[in-house]
Amino acid sequence: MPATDPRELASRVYALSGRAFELARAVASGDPPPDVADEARQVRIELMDLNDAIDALADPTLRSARSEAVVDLNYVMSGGAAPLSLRLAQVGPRPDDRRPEEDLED
Amino acid sequence: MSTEAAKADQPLQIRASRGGAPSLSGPLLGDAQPMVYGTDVPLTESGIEYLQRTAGNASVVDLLARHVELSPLELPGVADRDRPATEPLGRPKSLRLAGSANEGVRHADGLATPLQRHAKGATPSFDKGAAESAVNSRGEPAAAPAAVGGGRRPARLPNRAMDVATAEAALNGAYGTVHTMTRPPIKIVSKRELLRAYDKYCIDNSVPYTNPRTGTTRPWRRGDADRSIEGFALPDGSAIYVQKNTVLPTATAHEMLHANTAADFRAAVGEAINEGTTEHLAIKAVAAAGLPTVGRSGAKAYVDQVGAVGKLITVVGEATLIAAYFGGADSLVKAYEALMPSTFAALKGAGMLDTAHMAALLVPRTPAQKTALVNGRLSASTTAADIAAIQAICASDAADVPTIAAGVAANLETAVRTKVVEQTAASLGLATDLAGLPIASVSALRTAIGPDIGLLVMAKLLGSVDATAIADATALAELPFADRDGLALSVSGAVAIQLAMGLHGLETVTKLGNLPFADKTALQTSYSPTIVTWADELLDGWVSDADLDQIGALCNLPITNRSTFAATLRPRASELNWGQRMRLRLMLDSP
Repeated sequence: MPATDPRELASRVYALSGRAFELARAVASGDPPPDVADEARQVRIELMDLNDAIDALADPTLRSARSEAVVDLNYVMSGGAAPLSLRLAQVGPRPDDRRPEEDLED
Repeated sequence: MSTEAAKADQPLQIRASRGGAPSLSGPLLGDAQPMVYGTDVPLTESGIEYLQRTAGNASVVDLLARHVELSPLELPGVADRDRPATEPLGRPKSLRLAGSANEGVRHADGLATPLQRHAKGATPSFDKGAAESAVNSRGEPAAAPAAVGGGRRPARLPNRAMDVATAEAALNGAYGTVHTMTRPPIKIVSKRELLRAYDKYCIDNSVPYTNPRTGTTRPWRRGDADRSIEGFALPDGSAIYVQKNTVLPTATAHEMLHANTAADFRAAVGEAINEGTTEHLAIKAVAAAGLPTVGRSGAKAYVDQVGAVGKLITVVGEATLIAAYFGGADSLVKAYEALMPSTFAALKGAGMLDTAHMAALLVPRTPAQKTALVNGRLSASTTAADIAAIQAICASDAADVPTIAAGVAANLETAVRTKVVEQTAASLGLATDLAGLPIASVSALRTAIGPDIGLLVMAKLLGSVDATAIADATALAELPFADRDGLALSVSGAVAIQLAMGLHGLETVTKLGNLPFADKTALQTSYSPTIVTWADELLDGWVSDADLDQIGALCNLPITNRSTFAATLRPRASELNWGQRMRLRLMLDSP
């Protein structure tokens, strides 16, 4: 059921986003629960049902939380093959180990 | 409605100037004009926003600030999805802005640093020429300057992420003394490019696509990337993609901070505090650089999380939070637990935002409570952990330190005195650390404990003074609150005792006179006359080689005044035989 109250909506989105992150971390750790893909699908569906409400609220934080969740859930549903969310990347390789690159603004 | 507000609501209009070139005027410019350039639709402040979306903030702000003339330059329109629902229909899809408006933001403007150029509205895309400054090569709006119209209203904001160099400069400016930022491989791209990059990675790497509702899986296809994705990272760490058209001006700084935070911070503090701290630090740095921190329509990121972190700062202090963010979460956890009755784990909870829960656990301690907490850690058994906790309590709010210091002075003195009396390397180290706390007054400790140290030092210097005694006495004397005058008196007393032993004590007197905290001048004044008399008496009657050896030893004492010694003994050389005379003269003349 779509949330209409902004605080309730935010609470639900953060909760789903947090769950998505936990699932992604479990996959990244190499020891996910057996039903991780099914749970990721369920979280994704719940998040999809909130899409209109999130878009209507125009809260950048909520959108960011949704974005992170979507990337995390894709990662989980792909078995760890899809790109990482920005937050999951933080617990991965450190930037010191990466090759500096120019951004693409030019 | 105030006059200012009423004025701001009046239409802003664009009129034709001499020669057919239009110019902009209106209440914000202090010169209302009835005519509208291009259309007969008057422009209000929302119209300015529309201009900003279509032509770019840099161009519009420059226009407002400089009253520049307008001349034809075709600019593309803005995607309908970006237009607010309240915007009237029938807006022109394109406007004509002047090349002169763009000149104010071209790279040849002399602005040297990324911050200056960002504040001015320049971005790397402007390097390509003034014609691209209002919109970049992909028809996207350019960045806005930090101030509009000479500061008459807040800056209108770029509908795009800050470039990496600007964010890096702002963050290093704010936190460079704590941590030098490493530049992560951030790629700031349009939504289209971001989704394309996501799709490309998935296709190139045979990532399966799963339909969430049906559970069916197939190979990833172009267009599968969900439009809600605003950023992602490649698994090999080679690139971090961030959407350019974000409404959050702090987004780039935020992501760069994430890439620079201590490895354990996120896991230790949880999502809410991590994101709130990151955004707090991003806002602080960007604001300190004079750049906008709030997106269009007041858009802010992680408002509740930032609010919770603001409460956390009132509890532990910002310096502690920053140190933990870049250096490791342990110091934050320990600081919180030194101040609060609950554990940090309780505050963190599940890691997600629970404002009520966090607010209940983030009530800052009063100065009286902090005083009681510090007193509870000051005793004979005060440990290094206690001292670290006291340090954290003091760092929670510098304004509370004087109150705490006054309330703990007695217990602090007792704790320090206890550690000094223990006289072990560890206890003296703790005493030194206690004296280094912000609540400690070294001068007060010197007055209170300095005499005690003097007595302890003197006790070490009695009897046969060996290397251990010298080392122990030196360690005591090196305490930051040791009293130099008192120590000098202790040495003097020890010298007097050693001299009372006659010539047997000369070796020890040499050690005492060479102690770094000995006052040689005072010792010479006090004891050199006695030493000279002894030497002079050794020359009475028959003089043996052993007598000359003793005279040499007395001459070389660090507390002997050599000039007086030589002046007194030199006339007596004539009483000696030739060999002894030569030996005595060599002693007296040697440096």
